[in-house]
Amino acid sequence: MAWRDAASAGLLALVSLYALVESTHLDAGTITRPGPGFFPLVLAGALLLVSLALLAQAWRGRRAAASGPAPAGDDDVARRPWALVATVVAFAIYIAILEPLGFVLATAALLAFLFGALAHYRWPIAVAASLVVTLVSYLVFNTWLQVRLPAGPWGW
Amino acid sequence: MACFIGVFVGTLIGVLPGIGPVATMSLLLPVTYAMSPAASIIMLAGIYYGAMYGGSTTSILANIPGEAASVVTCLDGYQMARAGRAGPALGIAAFGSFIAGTLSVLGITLLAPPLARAALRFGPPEIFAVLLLGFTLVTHLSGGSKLRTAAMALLGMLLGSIGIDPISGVARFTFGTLTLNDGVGLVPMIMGLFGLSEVFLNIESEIRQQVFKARISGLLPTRADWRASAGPIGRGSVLGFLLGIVPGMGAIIPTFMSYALEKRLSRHPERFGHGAIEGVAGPESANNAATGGALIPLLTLGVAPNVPMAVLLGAFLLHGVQPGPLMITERPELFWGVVASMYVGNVLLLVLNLPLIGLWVQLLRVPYGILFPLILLFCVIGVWSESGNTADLVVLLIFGLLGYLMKKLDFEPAPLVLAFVLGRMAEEALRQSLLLSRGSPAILVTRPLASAILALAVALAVLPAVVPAIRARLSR
Repeated sequence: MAWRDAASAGLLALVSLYALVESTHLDAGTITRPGPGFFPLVLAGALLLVSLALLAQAWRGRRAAASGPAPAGDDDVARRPWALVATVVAFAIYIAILEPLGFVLATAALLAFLFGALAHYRWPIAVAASLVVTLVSYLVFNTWLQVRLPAGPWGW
Repeated sequence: MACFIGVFVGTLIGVLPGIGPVATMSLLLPVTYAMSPAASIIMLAGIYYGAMYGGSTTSILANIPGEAASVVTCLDGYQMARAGRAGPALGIAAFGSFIAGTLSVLGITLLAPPLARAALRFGPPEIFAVLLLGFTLVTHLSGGSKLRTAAMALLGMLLGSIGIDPISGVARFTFGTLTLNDGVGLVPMIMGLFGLSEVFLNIESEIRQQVFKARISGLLPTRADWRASAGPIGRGSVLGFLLGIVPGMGAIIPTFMSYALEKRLSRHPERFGHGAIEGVAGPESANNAATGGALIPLLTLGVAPNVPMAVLLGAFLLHGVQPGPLMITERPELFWGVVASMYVGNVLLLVLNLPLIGLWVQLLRVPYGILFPLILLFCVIGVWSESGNTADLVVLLIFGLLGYLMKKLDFEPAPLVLAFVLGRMAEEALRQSLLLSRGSPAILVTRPLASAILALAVALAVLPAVVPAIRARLSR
């Protein structure tokens, strides 16, 4: 039994079950007069069937013939799962502080962290580079292209 | 001059991910007030088709679609770049766009009035039939198993049903939040699925090594590239042009259809997704041709078939011009001025873009440690500029993680995105059709145009299963 496939199929089945339950709260209408719940119901049901089929496939251990390229970082390169987690967490924190602190501060902090901790540049270089990048992008997008980037309590 | 500014700004915003043509055109609308009507329309139209040129650049270089219609270009363009063939990919995208753009302007010049009349006969049933045609092509988008593709397509459609139901106004799957009322945004979704997930994948493996180990070979498409791309460019142009005229199609669906079509016709469909130049040439031609096609209903009928055209319509009205059947006779200098400017604009774009290719390719030599924070930043700015809402950044992150998981688990994002776009429209079109017919599904087959397209869709769905069987019997 291919665990990865079983896990993904199980996940899909859970999603479809949730959608199925949710869509029963909506008005399904009839075949000739479908209401707002009709299509979600049909789609969720179909997805449930497909994910069960995938689950059955995984159970029999028959790996679906995937002609796609091997997922990046499969065997020949060193894996750094912590780097991924760190990036995701940093990005989540960034989203949280973006509006309270404003674009310039939040972005400079995020970039400095990525340059310094993940790309292993020396900290003075990382901080300087992130400040330059942040200011340039702020000028280009906010000042010149008139995109309203989030302004902190100081207006930037 | 207005033409040059338009295409220049258009290319720029096309290259910069997220900042789409719609936002830019709306921003510059007030600026055009001081200009003559012709100049302002020429400039705004230039932004739109210029964006289609520039959109391919970041798709190819970094797997981030520069604007929504360049999603498909990521599939093979980015793989080409990884194989050191970013130059030919960018080159064929520029040439393909040029050829398709010019052909579609030629189409406007010669065929505008009759095509516009045909487009008016497209009601909800016809649109539903075209969308169904699109669905039959979904399965050809991915290389993996049909079951997995179906799972992704269904998930995409479910995601598409999030938000306020377009017909009854009931909120669906919004988890009680206001931000999901408008549905999941297309821009944060594709930037997450393609751009951000790629960053996650690369970060996880050791960062110091060059992502593009392969030597960069050749800047321009070779003769073999041209031979492979001639057909896709031609077919992409026609497909994009015709679908562009249809109200509501936009430029995304034609690109998906072109990609699927080329894969279908190819003798080596297995190369698609691994850097097939046809997979860049066809869709890039299709999105440019679609912009030309979309101008037809606007210029000849005064009907805006998609959002950017609605902004353009606004520009016409701002200058006191009502585009429509009378404009060609009453304001010929305006109509033909715009058309002529598009010939010039396409030449300008080619001249502008070709020298840039060398520069873009050099960008790939930048170490990934420097590149990935910048990619992340571009995704953030792109998403923010579209909505100005941190909730969409959360959506971006979620889809980045989803895209990462999907790649790890061998699911492909393309069917999900196409089904997301098609599903939302198809449901609306079908339910509108049923409202029109008071609940009789016969409306889908009694209208001649709808039934013809529907028959084509059924044929395309059934033939691949039937033809091999017939062939086998004949050869025996």
